[in-house]
Amino acid sequence: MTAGRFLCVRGILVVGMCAIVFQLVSAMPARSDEEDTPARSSLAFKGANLCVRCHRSEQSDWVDLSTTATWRHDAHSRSHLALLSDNPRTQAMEKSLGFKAEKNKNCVACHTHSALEPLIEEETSVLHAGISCESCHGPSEAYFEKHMEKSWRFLASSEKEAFGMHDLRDPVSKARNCLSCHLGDIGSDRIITHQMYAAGHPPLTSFEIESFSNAMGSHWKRVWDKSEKIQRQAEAADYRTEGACQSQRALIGSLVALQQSALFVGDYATAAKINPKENVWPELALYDCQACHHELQIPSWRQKIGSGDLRPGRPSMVHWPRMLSGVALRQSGATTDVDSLLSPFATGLNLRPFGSPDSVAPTLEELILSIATATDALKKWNRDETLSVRESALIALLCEAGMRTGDFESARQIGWVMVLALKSTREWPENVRKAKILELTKLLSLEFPHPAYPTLSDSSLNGSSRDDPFWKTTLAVTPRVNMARVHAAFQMPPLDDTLLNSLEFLPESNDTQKEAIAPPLPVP
Amino acid sequence: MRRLKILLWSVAHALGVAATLSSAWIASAESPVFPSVNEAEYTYGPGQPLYAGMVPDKTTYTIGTSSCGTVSCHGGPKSENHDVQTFSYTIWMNNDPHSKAYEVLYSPRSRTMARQLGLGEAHRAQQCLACHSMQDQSRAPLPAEVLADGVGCASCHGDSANWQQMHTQPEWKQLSKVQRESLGYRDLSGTVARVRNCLACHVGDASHEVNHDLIAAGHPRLTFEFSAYQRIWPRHWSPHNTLESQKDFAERSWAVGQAETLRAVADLLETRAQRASDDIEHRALGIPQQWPEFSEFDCYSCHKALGSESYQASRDEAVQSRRFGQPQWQPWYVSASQLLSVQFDSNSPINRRLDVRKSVIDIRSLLDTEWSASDQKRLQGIIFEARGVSRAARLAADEFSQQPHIILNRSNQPMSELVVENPQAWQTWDSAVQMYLALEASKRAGPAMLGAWRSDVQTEEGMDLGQSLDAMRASLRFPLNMDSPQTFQPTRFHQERSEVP
Repeated sequence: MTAGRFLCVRGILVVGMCAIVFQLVSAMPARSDEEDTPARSSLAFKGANLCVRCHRSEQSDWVDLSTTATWRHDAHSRSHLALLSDNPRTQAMEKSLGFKAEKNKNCVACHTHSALEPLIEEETSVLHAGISCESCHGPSEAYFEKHMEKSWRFLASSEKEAFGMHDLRDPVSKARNCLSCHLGDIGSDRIITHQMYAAGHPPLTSFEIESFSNAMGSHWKRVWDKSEKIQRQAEAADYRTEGACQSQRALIGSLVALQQSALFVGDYATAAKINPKENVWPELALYDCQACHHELQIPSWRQKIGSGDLRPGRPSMVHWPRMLSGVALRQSGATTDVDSLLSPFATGLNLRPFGSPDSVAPTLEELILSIATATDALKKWNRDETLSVRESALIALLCEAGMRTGDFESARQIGWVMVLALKSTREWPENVRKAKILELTKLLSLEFPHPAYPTLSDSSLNGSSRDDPFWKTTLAVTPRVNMARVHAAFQMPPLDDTLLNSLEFLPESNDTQKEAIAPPLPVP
Repeated sequence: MRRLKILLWSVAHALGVAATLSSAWIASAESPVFPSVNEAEYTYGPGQPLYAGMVPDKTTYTIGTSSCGTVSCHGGPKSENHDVQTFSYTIWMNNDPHSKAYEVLYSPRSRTMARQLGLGEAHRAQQCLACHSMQDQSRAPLPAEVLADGVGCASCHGDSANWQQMHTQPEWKQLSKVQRESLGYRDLSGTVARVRNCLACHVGDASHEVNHDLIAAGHPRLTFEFSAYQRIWPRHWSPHNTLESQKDFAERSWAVGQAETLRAVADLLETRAQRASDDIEHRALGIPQQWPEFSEFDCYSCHKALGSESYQASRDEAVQSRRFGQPQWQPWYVSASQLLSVQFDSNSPINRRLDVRKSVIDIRSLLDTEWSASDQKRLQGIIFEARGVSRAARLAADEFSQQPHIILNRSNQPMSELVVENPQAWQTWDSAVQMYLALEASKRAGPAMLGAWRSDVQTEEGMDLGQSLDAMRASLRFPLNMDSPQTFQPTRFHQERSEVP
C-alpha cells in the first residue's frame, strides 16, 4: 500500500468518526450564483465515507449500488494523490513554484473538493478522498437524510437543488460541473496558471463530455437501463430522464464549454481589475495553449487558414470549444455563429495582444442568451426512430467542421462526437463506419487508457503506451500530428452502393471493433 | 498579328529611348560645370548640400539602378581581368537576393500575408516597400521602375540624384568623404557605417519594422549576424583597399557587427516601449496597441509543440530558466554580448568591460520576469535600460572599429571556457547558433582569435575544427519542412561544443 493510499484510507476513517462541517464554495460557475438558493452556499460536505455505506452493495433495482466500486476505479478517486509530496512531479513543481500543493487554493479546488483558504489548513478526510461524491452531486448536509426517503426519487430536479443536490441529469448543468475543473472557473479558484503549467502541470486537453463520461465508467443507470417495473413507476411519476441522445448531449457540452471559456476570460479580467496585484494581467493560461505552443512549419496551414477575426499573431481564447460549438449552433437552428458571439473578445484581443482587463470584459448577456436558446433546442432531440437520419445530418456537419480545423484539440473534440454519431447512425454500412471509427481513433488518439488514470507515480516521460495517463498520450501525440491527414480523415464516402462495395474490410484487430455499433433503437 | 506586336513593341521602345535620351540631355544641360574642389569655399553639413541650386528635389526625384548599371559603368560582364566595380551591377542583378526584394512582394505568400494583415496589395503597401524597395515614408511615391529595383544601389550607397552626374567625372575622386556625404552619397568604407547600413532593415527601426503580426502572417523572422551575412553575400566590390583587406577583418566584423547590432536592437526596443508609453497616455482606455511585442522575445520559448520533449519537468535542471513560463528577451542578439564584454582589456582606461554585459543583465531582469507588464512605470524603466544598452553597445562598436588591431582574446580566456561557464549562453537555439557563428568566425580569423582555434589540433576521434563545426551545424539545422528547432537539445549541443578542439 502506498503512502498516498494509506493517507486516503486513514482520512476516510477520521471523517467517519467526526463529521467536519465545511463551508461550501459553490461548485457551480460563478455566474449562476443568482439562481442558487442562499442556503446552498453554506452547506457542508459530509464526506464520501458516509455515501459509501449504502452505495456499494450489489445492484438493486432503482439505484445502481455498485457506484462505489466504479468510482474506486475512476481516476477521480485518486486525484488528491497528485497533491502529496511523495509524487516526484509534485515535488518538482513545489520546488519551482515555492508553495505546497496541499495548501494552495488553486490546487485543492480541483484535486479535492473546492475549499476556501482557511479550511485547507485542516487536514481532513474530505480533502483526502479526491473528487468524490459530493464534488459533483453537491454537499450533502441538507439532503443526506432526506435522500434516503422513498419520496426523494420522484422529486423534481429543481426541488432537489433546493437541498443542495446538483442536477446532473440536465446536460447543461452536468457540463458546467465537469468543465469548472476541466476548463477552469475563476469564481471557484479553479485555474491552472501558466506558471503552474510551465513548472510541470500537464496540459488540459479538449473535453468532450460524453466520451469522457464513458471513459470514466458510468456509476449510474439511465431509466431505460432499469427494470420494467421501475420504468413504469418513473413514467407514472413523470420522472424526468436524460432527454437528448448522446451526440446531442455532446454538442450541448461543447456550447457550455464555449460559454465557460468566455466566462473564464471575462471573470479573470474583472478579478484583475479589482485586485491587479494578485490577479496579474495577462494570465497566459486563459488563452489557447496551441495558439503559441506549436512548431513552425513550411508551408504553414495555420497561415493558409488565417486567424479569422483576429489579427495574425494574436493569441486566441481557448480554441477547442469553438469548432464543435459551430456545429452545435447550426444543428440547433441558431441564426448566429460562434464568430459573432465572440466578436467582443476578438475586438479586445486585436486592440492589444492578450487584450487588457478593460477590453476583454465585455457584456456577455447576448452570448449566454444565445447559448441557452441553442441548448434548449438541442435538448429536445430525443432518442427516437429518426435518430439514425439525424445522426447522418450531424455527421455531414461534423465532417465539414473537421476539414476546417486549425488545431489538434478541436479536431479531436469533433472526432469524439463523430465516433458517437457513427455508432448510432445506420445510414452507412457497418464496415464503412467501423473503418472510419478506427481511422479517426488512431489518427486523433481518441482512445482513453484503461482505467483512465492507472497510476500517478510515472517515472518515464518519453514514449507512451495504452496504459499511460491520458495527458501523457496527448503530449506524445500532439507534436506529431499531421493536420493535412486529419483533414482528409474527416471525409465520409458518399452513400453510393458501388463505392461502398469496393471498400476493403479491415482486419478485426482493435477493441473498438468489438464495441457495439448502432444498437437497436429503444422502444419509445 | 505577331508582326504587329513586334512593331508596337519597337515603337514603344523607341519612344522610351527617346524620352530617356531627352531627359538625360535636359539633366546634363542643367548641371553646372564642376567647380574646382576646395572645401573651404563651400558650406556643408547635414541637410545642407554642397552645391546649392543644382540639387533636384529629393522627394520627387530618384534614380533607379538602370542608370548605374550601364555596360560601360557598373554593368559590364563578369571578368577576372577587370575591376569588380565594372560589373558590380551584374553581380547584384544575377546573384544578390536584394535585387529580388520587390519581386517577392508579388509571390503567393506575400499576397496571403497582405490579405491577412489588411494591407491591400503587398507591392503597394508602405509597410512592405520601406524595406523591400526604396520607398521612404516621407517621400512622394516613387515611379514603378524605381520601385521595381527592390533594394538597389541607392538603398545602400545613398540616393544618387545629387551625385550621380558628378561621380562619373574625375573630380569625384578628389572630393573628400565629408563632401561626398553632403551630396547624399553614403560612405561605406568603415565597419560601423557598413553594419549600420544593413540594420535599418535587418533589425529594424521606427519606420522599418518586422513585428510579430507580420511574422505570424508569414514573414520570415529576422536573424541578422553581420559577419556571417558578409560571408554569404555575393561581394560586388573589390577586396583590395577595402575592409576585407584588413588582416583582422574577421574579428573586426564579428565584434563590431555584434556590438552595433545590439545597439540597433536596444534602440528598437526603446522605440517600441516609447510607443506603448505614448499609447497609454493618449489612447482610449490607455491600451498600448503593440505591447508586449512578441518579436522582442525568443521565438521558440513559446513556439514549441507541447510534447514530452518540451515538457518542463523532463528538462535538464541546468537549462531551466529562473522564472517559469517567461520567454527570454532577444537571445539572438544578446547572447554574444557576454563574449563581447570580456574582449575589452579590464585594465584599459576606458573600462567598459561591465557596461554591455551589465546593461543587458539589467534589461533582462526587467523583461524576463514580467515581460508583458505595461504600466507606465515599468515601461519607463525599460526605456531607461534600453538607452543604457544602446549607449554601451555604441561605445563598444566605436571602440572595436577604432582599435588599430583587434585581437579578441585579450583576456586570455579561451572561448570554450566561457561557453562552459555560462550555460545561459547555450540554452536556447538562438544563442547556440550565435556560438556556432562565433566559432565559425574564429575559424576564418585563424589562431589569433579567441584563443580557441588551432588548425593542427584534433580531437581524440580525429575530428578537426572544420569537421566538428559541421557536426554542430547539423545539430542546429531545422528538420525537414520545419521552421523551428523541433529536435534541438541544449544538453546535447553543449556536449558537442565541448568536443570542439
